[in-house]
Amino acid sequence: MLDGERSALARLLTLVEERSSEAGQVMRLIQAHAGRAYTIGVTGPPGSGKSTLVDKLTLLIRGQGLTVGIVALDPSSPFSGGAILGDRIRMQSHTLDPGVFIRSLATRGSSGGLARATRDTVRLLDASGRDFCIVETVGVGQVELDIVDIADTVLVVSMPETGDSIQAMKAGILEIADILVVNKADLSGAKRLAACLEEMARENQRDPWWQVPVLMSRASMNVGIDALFGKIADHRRALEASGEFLARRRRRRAKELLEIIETKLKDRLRERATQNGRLSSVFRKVMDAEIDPHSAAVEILNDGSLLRQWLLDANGNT
Amino acid sequence: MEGRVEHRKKILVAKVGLDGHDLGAKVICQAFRNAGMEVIYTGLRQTPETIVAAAMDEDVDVIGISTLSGAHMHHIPRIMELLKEKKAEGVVVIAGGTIPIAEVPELERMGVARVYPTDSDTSKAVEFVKGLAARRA
Amino acid sequence: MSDKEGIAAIRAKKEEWETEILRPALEKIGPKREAKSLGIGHLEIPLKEIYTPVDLEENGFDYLEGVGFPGDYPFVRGVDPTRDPSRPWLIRIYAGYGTPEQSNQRYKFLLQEGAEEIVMAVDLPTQIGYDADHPMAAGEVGRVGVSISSLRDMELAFEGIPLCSMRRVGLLGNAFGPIALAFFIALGEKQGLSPKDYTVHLQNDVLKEYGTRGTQFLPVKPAVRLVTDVVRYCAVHAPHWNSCNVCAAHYAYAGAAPAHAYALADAQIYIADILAKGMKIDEFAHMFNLFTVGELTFAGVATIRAVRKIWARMMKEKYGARDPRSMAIRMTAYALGESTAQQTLNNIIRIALGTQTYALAGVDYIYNASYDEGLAIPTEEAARLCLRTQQILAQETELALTVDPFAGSYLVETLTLQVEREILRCLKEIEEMGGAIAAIDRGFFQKKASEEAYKKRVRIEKGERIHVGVNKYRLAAEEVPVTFKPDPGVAGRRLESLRRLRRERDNREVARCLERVREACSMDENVVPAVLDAVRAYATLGEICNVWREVFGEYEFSKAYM
Repeated sequence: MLDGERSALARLLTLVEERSSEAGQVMRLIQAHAGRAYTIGVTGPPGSGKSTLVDKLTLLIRGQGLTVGIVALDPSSPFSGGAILGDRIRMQSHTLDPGVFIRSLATRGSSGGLARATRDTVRLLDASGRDFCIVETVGVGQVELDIVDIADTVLVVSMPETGDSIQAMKAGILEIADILVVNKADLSGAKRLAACLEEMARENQRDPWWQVPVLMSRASMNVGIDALFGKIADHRRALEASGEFLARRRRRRAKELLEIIETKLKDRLRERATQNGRLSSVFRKVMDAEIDPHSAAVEILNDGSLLRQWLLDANGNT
Repeated sequence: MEGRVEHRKKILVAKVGLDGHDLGAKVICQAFRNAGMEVIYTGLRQTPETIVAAAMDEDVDVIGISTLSGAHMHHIPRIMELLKEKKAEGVVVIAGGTIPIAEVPELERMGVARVYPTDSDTSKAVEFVKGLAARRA
Repeated sequence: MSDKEGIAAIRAKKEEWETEILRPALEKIGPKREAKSLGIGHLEIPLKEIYTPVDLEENGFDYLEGVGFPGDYPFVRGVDPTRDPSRPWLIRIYAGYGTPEQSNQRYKFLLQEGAEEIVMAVDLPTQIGYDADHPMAAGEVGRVGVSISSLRDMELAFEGIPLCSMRRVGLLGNAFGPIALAFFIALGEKQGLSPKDYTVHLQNDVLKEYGTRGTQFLPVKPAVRLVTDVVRYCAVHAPHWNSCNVCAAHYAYAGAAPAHAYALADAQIYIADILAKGMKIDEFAHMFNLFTVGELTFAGVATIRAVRKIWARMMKEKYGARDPRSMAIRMTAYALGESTAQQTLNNIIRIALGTQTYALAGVDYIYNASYDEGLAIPTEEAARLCLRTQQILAQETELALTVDPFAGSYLVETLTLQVEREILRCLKEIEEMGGAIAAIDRGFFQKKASEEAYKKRVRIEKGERIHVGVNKYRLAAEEVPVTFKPDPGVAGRRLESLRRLRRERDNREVARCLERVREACSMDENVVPAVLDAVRAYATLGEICNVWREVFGEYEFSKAYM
């Protein structure tokens, strides 16, 4: 993969997506090669034109001779667990371009609109030598907050008719947006929406070194993409100048570690609780309402043998 | 790696050639999705080159070709050839649509695992894919 | 008894009947299989046990106001007041395959067997604006229709067939309207004719392509402009031609009812565009045709009657039309049945029944599929049978002797009113969304169609809907029917033909004409004259379409809508 073999990258991405046992090894091996790519997150309500925007942005980046990795997310069905991943349709011009790698990912039940494998997928694309990674979130009517854990620059895309839903998501947007984009700007209400967003951004400036701008675009007509890319470059420069670029990446890595450990611990506890033993009896008591969950938690965390049952396996290993 | 291992079958459904009727393809996409699989739908007017490139980048288990204009005998051999060139013969290819029964043996000789002519039960294709061994991790 | 008292008496008697006679019979039968989505053009309105005058009253039936007389507003009973029994409707046939020379043979055969209109079936490359030698055309040349890349091909296709010798001639193409129009004008010139000597029928309805057939290749707005340029040109130069056939059928095949609402919404876009460009409604509305659909007998007849009424009222009330010809919409229909690939002879019955429905509904131009249509291009025998089906219905039955025989039927009049309401409701929904273009943009129809298609499939697989030969009355081993064998040399011959054309024509003239087309596109003028000159100079279809692609941009596929 490191030598540029595309099929190797594809297979490694699968290992990571399936959370298989070799994936951990893979991530360890590529660690040294990751970190070069600049990651852009694209989020926003459905229909706002995210995929088209990503498509045109990619075109622009390729025009500059740089390479792109795209992660396109779609929701898994809560009923069957399956998914229809249709984002490639909007990005057809890049299928045969060796400088672009597109990978579709299903959320597979994780909340927040991102799949658990997203971070590692991006890291692999990064390690394969991409200059940019673009992550397009699901966009099921809410802004995906988790995108900040992955992206250096977050774009929040809206369009005139989703103005109301954008208002409703105000708090979330202000928390995560680095650049606001009003797409399909030819529709009526575009200027009004932009003005409204500008006011919102002005009154709630999150970072003292960056005023969140509002840009207009018509992605399908390739209008506004140059300006957008320029703003992304501006944001990058501002991040670096303020020291936030590295600081954020450090914070993200720390958060990732916490999340990995948290997931491991939770999953194992869940697993062990179903096996016979004192752990499962504590759980049973809580389920039968014999003791309250707080006391039960204190009991588990203070009892050495319970901790051991949780954290260690039969051979005394974690 | 934290968490449970998650094997899910991945299928690429594509319409090859110029035919623009996509309801059959969409029906099979939904059938696979409802059976718990992940379906990458490429949409209309795909070429053998774009189909194989996408299938490989997405590392799918199965490629499903939907064809209604009768041009399958032109495009499918090329798809099989490309898969061979890229050493991806492990990818299973199935085809559905307006395919005369008389042509099925030749398609199977080419390497198409199953052919589902119009009005075939979607459950047949779903069961077949379910029964395949996971090619991926 | 007054009307009101009469209705009350019937209602009372009906309740009695339901309790004492119907209920015991229903109990004997047990739970009934629902008629949900029986077939093409099904209605969401369920059919009841029986219909009585009570239903007419409850639905606001008024003969004079709501039904009237054939040939008179609102044209529910038909556009013509009466019919000539020797030609009660126009017998069309859809044909074309392979090379223009091969299709020419088939056209001669069909005309000899009684076809009154040939509708050219052109192959997918042609429909999508590609010449036979374009890389995307590979494998598709001459397959689902005849390969036509230039005026020379049209000349060959109609060699020995004067356009004026047919009652009408047509072409099923939607994304390249001006070229199709130019083909027929220039071909007429080559045959020494002027437009008034013959009648052309173009489908030229690009909007439906985006949601159904998928042959579009330009973005929506310029594609609409090409459609209306054709209509505007014909309004002046060939007003007796049908320059736009707004299609409901394809929406119905895709399953999202009510299909006609989508067709009418598309028509509204075209009409608005033409009006905005300065024409008056009565100058062009009469050229519209509606490709209707509805093969189940009662639902079909009711729907078609309702649509005639809706169109008439729309022309009069929404657009202020004064000429009755603007308000009377002539219909085209294609009898296809839910044809199967299994036991194909069964399709003969299905198609005959569908043809009969359209005849009963007063459709003006009828064509029908051949029983092997699902498998391949029709054999000569199968094509002949299409014509015989129509001829038998026209000459051997009572159909030609009376107009709108189902008028007055409690069932059909009730359904007509109910369908009218349903279509208007959906049309309003589309209007509120901003019209057909806005609806296409957000995948309104595509989503519905995709869901309906899946539900329909599930119903068939569960046996809730019977499809004879497919999920019931199957054969263990299907007989492989004799089908048409496509000629493998077609593509090669077409390439050679194009090479020769490019050698023999005046390429400088062609370049000049294409440049003129480019200018016309970029400005607000009608592109037809420039396209006509290019066609006369033997510019190819692909070359002209490429100019359009360059000026307007190529259509980009959008979401999956599932």
